[in-house]
Amino acid sequence: MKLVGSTLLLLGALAAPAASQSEGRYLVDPDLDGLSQTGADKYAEFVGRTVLIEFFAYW
Amino acid sequence: MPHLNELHEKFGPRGLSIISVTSEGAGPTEKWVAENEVKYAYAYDKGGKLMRDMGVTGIPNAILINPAGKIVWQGGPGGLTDDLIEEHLAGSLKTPVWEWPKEASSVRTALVKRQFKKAIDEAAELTGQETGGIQESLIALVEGRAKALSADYESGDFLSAAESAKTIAQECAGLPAGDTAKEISKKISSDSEAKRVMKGQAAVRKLKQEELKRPKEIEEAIAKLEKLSRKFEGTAAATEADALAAQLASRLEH
Repeated sequence: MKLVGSTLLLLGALAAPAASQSEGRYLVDPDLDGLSQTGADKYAEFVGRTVLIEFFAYW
Repeated sequence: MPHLNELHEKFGPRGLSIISVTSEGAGPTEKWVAENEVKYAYAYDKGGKLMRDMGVTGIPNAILINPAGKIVWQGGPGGLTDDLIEEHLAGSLKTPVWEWPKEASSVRTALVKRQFKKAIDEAAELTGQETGGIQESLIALVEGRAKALSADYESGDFLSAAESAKTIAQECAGLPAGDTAKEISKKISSDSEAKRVMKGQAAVRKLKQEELKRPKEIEEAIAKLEKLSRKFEGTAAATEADALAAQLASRLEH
């Protein structure tokens, strides 16, 4: 099921250009687990920074 | 990944933080991060909640958030240019709060809680050489937020301005930026045309959040957007409707 979901997601990426669904919105401190390779413990500590969030998968 | 490593090296000291987010498991992800020598932060989005909230339907995808917390760009990471990043670095903190010296811990605490006046007041008490510049950078950050809010309002993007004004009025209470936010909120709530445009913007943004998969659903959404564009001609609502209709039409073509 997980593989099917992942494949569909990838196919979605290949089939259509990514739509800019969220531009103009404000992002209020999302819940992120296991923040690594940073001194921040939670997203709120990125306050005042310009932030690039990349959505990715290892496969 | 090499592209993001490069961006991290180049723009990190100038105010950019990169966080790669995945809804996959920790084991294979950490192995992949090590193998690809990822140098920036990464984290887990349990159940893909953030990804869904951001309307991400294919990966990789990325969002760029300015220092005021506003999403200013979304797309494939390969499409992110240096110029675009440069444009949104203004007013950002060059040194992230976790790298501030211990003496500034009370400023850090206030800032993370979004208590900007308290943070600036506490920063004024700092005397060490290592903490020099923190107060100035916070003032610049707050001024940048007020400037972005005014720009939204002046451009007729009343919905973004109203949302932002509410947050800034709360977080920057007691500062000139807080007063600016209150003033803009008041102007919007007493302006019937602004309220009309906001209704149109809200209708477009609602359509943006809909999960449209079948061509028929997309066609129907485009028809609704064309109607909204005509109804709100010459306003931010029409601009947003046209942009979304073009994106959806492009999906149909593919």
